Amino acid sequence: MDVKYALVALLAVLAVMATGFTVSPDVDRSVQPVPFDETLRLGLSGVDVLQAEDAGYSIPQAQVFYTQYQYVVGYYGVDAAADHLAARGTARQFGRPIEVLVTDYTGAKPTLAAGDYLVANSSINISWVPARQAHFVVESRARTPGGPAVVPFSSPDAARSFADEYDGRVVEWNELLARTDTQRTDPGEQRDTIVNNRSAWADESVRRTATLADRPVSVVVGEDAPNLSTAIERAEPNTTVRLPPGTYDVNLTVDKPVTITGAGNETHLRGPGTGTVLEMRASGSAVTDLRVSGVGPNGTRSLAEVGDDWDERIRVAYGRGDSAIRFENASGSLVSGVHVDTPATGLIVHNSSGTVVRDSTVRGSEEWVEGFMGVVAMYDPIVVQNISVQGGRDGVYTHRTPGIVVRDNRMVDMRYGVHEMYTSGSVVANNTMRGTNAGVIVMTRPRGNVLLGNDVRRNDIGLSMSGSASYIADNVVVDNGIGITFGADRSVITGNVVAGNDLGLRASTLLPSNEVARNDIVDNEVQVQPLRGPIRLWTEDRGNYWGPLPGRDADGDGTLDAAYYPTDDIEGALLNASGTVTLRESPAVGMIRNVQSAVPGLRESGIVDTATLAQPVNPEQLSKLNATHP
Amino acid sequence: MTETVGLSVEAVTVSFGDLTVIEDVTFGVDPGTVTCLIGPNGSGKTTMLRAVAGLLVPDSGSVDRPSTGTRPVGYLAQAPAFRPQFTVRETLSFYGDLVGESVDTESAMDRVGLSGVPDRRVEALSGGMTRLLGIAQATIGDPGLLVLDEPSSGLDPMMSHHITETISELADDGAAVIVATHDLGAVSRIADDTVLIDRGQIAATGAPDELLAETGAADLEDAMSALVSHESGEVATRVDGTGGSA
Amino acid sequence: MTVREAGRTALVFAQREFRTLLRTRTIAVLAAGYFLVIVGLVVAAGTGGYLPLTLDLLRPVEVLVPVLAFAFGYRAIFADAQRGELETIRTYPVSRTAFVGGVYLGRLAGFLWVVLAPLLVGAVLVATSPSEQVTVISAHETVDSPAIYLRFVTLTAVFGLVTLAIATAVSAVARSTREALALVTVLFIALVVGFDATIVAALSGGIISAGQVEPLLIFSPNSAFRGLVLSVAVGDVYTRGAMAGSPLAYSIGLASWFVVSLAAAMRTAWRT
Repeated sequence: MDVKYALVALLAVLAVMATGFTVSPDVDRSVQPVPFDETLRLGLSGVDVLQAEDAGYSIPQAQVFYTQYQYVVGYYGVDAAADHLAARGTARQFGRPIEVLVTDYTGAKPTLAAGDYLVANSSINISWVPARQAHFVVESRARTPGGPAVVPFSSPDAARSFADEYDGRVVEWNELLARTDTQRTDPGEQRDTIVNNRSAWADESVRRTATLADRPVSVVVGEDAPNLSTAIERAEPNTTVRLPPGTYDVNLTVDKPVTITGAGNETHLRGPGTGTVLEMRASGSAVTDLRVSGVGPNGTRSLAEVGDDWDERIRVAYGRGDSAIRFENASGSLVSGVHVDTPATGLIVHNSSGTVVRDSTVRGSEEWVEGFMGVVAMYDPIVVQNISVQGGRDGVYTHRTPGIVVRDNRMVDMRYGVHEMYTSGSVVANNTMRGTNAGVIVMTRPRGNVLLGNDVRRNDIGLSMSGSASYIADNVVVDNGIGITFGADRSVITGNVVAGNDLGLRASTLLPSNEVARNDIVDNEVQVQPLRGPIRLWTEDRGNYWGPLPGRDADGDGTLDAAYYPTDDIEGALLNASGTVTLRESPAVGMIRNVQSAVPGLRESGIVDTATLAQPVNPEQLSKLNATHP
Repeated sequence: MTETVGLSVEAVTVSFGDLTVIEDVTFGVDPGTVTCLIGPNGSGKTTMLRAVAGLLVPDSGSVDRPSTGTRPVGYLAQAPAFRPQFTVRETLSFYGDLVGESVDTESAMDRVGLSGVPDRRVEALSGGMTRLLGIAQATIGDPGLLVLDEPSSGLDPMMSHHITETISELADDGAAVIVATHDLGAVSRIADDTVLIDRGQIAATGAPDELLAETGAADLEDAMSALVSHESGEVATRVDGTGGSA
Repeated sequence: MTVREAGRTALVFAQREFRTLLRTRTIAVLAAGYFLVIVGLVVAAGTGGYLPLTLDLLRPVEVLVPVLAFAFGYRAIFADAQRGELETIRTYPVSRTAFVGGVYLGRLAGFLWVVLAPLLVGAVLVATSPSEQVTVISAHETVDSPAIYLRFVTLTAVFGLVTLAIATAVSAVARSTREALALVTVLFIALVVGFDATIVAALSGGIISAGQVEPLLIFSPNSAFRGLVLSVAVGDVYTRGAMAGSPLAYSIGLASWFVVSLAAAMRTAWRT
């Protein structure tokens, strides 16, 4: 081979390489706006967006192009964008914003509809404007289903006149960023706020409904009336109808606020085997201390006559099925000490805010496909506490019940223990789940849900979270197929014991924006598995406990000095396979590691914990589990 | 200085530090003649040849080489060596390319009897064949002066004879040839002139016949013994020497 | 001797060196090893972009390119000298400049290909990696641009030029295998660790101030190369607020090493 050709070819290659110097590697800052539905969307919850779309309300939007993240991130709510941009960790994970575009309402003739919801009368004229050139109306009366709206305009005059008309003021982008900065709160505090507020509300609901059990007895069936139907007709409102031990054939609707109470399991309400046994339609109704059976077999209603409205379809399909007791517009009602046997649904609580279901049991079908829900809650928050559901489809099914509290319950052998749809701000706490397809599953795109202190074992999936700004905290998730799977954004997973699962944690969001720290993740066959997207940093000052990993804690702060890569083949096997630690200490691996922590946003999926904990977070819990690595 | 046609060595002295290896040596080689440099081991023959080939600069004196040809001097080292990864033909082509003219490597191989193994790698050549390759290399580019250090060492008698014939032919073609050798039989066949070096100095010069006549010896071996001053079987070293130059 | 003749002679030597490389098995093994290390690193690190690729490869390249350069170059001239063939060559009408230049070019023709091949393969791997593109989501241009990597590869080639020049100088200066190996070892340690460690030691010992670091870095080819990559190729995406140093100064540093090394090789190839 002639050296001349080799040299000439080299020159040619180098000439090509050197073209790298003729083009600027700087990012082209003149980004083009993309269709909003092609962005990775954050911000308002799914139900708020659906509601706004249904009602024709307008939601100001933003799209952000980050230097180190290839996907365009879209935000429902300009304030949501500002919040995320100012949040800790955003720059580290995504780089700096190349450009922030916001919807421009200058030509859209924005006004406020009833309820002060923002409406664009000429929505076709909504365009995108760089945030730096926009003027934002804040603190006006304008709102979206998710809360106060920040409305951007490219024209200062248009912003001024909108602000004047709706009592707002105009700020610039930097001001908006700084403003969110001061408003930003610690995630832990946000969680405590949700939990404390909802717990206080639940306690209050329980306290208030407890008095319903103490209403004076006005009618005793068998003594003052021949049957329940007549007894209720004769009973004064706000009194108790008592059912002595015995079996009663019942199929009726109650329109007055009474308490129907029995003598425990000896009092047996028997339905005809079709439809719902007892329907309560007054606020402050109560059913206590009795047994119900004879429920119709249909969990759902046919949708043949229902229109295309998404919400209407769910309302009819799930809210009109056969059940033991159904509450309709019966706020502040009570179910206590009731034992239900049902081939369909146990209890349906519809538009009945503050109703409490407690100290009861529901026994559903053995095969979940044949049965339906233990408790269906729709449209208003209720309290479900200390009930036991066995079998059937879902223990508690929620549809648009923001702030529902489900606590201290036991769900065994069913599809989903708690199944939340379009439900934000809920608290699911201290429940026990066994033998389900999923202990708790949060679907749709809600926000601000809290799964706290649940004990979830031997399920296919322990906890499954979607949505955003949610919390999975202090749960014990043991011996499941998958411990915790989260497709939620900007959420916090902390304080959990995730042990003995086939797969401990699965992160399935494209957007790496979650905080995963201070968990004990030990003895899972596969500790973690991220599905898509770039490498994730699972460290917030401190990381997680992954078992007794090799390493030093030179500064004595309780974290190991070397970063840990649980998704890595070598590191994932550290505690299982002999010799892997020897390999890990090699310069070759060191070199690979060294580079992996730079520019995480541009790397393929994987997880890195830069401050793994030397000691477990919940040592007692772990030793109780008799985990091999306490 | 008159224009040099052959080789002219004038009062050359070469020292390595304190050690004088060649001292005040003067001789000449005319074009078309073969001069044999003889002498005991360590007498300074190789150093003399290296000075003649221009590989070292004398401390004093001068070496004038012929200016004919594209290549002033063809040189065969005492222990010729070449890149082991190259074949015989490639090696000769490389040296031919260095001369810059299209060189007939086939005839160069032919001349030394290597035409049967043009594609054999140098690493697979015997010591004798490597020397033949060295000789072929030395003849490339028709140098006006050929400097050959032990050209027939390690060769079988047939090849040795052939090589001496070849050397004669090269001289007949007009080259000035200087050969250092211990093969005194070859010397008597091909030498037009001999230079006997002993301990860095010229002990005698003249045609082989003249040396025989001068000493009255029957053959060159006896003549050389008579002309050098050391005991037989002793390596010639300088009196003050700590080592010789081979 | 005219320049034209010198160039022609240099190419004759280059051809000889190139052919030698092609026929030396240890060189092939070394090249294969280097290739596997670099490509393996790209695969093992799961590199998914040009900027990460550049950052991933910077350090291995900094270590391995000098190793390769020394392996390719350290025997080039010295092996001829040791064998005695250099004396034969010297009887031909060749200048030291043409000889050393030719040897350098010939070795370079093999060496640079070996250096660049896995880098190009790495780029192909990144470009064709089944990146987890989610097509329903709009992607945009990030700071991750091929230009970064192209610049890195170019700078690596320049670094290769310089280290091979140093290796050639070693092969011209060394008079024995042991001497050559010792020189190569000392230089390698100096390049990869020594210069920088000395600066660090001087800094922590208070002999120099932090402000004097940049001019000192110029004296280390590795630091100059690294500095160029950080300042010219990677840029402030990675270095952010920190300043990598002046590209001009680093360029001058590398150029000096190149010129001085080759000049030393030409001067010491043989005595005239």
